[in-house]
Amino acid sequence: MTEQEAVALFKCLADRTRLQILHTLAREDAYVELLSERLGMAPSTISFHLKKLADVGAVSSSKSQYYTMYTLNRELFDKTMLSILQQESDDAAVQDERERQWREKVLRSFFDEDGRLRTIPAQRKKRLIVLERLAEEFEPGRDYSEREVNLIIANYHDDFCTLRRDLVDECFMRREDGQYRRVVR
Amino acid sequence: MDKLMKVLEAKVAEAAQSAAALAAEDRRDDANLEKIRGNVYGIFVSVLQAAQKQSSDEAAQRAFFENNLERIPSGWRIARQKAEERGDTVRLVQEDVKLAAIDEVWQASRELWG
Repeated sequence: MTEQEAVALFKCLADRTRLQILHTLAREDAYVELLSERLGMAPSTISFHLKKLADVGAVSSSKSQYYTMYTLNRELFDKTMLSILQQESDDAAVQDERERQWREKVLRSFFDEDGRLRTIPAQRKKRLIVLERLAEEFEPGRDYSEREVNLIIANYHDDFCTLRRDLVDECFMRREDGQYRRVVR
Repeated sequence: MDKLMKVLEAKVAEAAQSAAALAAEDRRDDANLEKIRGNVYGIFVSVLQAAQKQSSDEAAQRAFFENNLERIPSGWRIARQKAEERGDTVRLVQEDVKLAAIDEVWQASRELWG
């Protein structure tokens, strides 16, 4: 169940008339006229609410001789609130997409058409994005000498010393015994 | 005319009261249907006021009122038919509520005017 579906379900259930209909259907399947008689409501009102309940999957209907029988969707009501709350949020996916777009925008503004770094970002959040991009130039699991690291970074910016130190300080690379190795995150 | 106005105003008030009671019972959709019903009476209170403004002649006022009583719900009947065709029960019930209210307005006007 998506977050949107959960919201629709809870909104639909937050209605006393619909809860009464579900209460009746929990005991046995019923058709509109029977529900209308039992709950003392107009058949049109019952149909109105059954449609809303069917739209969120709370009830289903089937033709039975002269009547359309309505059945409680027990599978849905057997779900625990916790299982619904544990579903991945749609909002999280939207946030991820926004984050991805923002990162692309930062990279576009700091790297020129030739892929050279125009300037080292002053803002840490943006600098991290740039450093992450530079770290991708290093193969994971391989050791690099300082000279090799400098040469690779120099392809992107003249201030390779600052960037090399930043890569280590921000834990994108690890330095051990004069050798540099990319940290896989 | 004044009698019909009082009947319609009473129906507006009754629908509003009923809607408030249903909303208080957490029956929001039922309350909304009552509001729809009340709105229909409200429309014809306005029509009646317009009829009185247009002419002081009671026959002219009645003609104006009944003309609108025919004209206004014609769109609702079409909407109802379309809702029925596409199996939109929710819209169908809403249109039925409006049309039932119109029937009541007709009934009230006939009782007063014959």
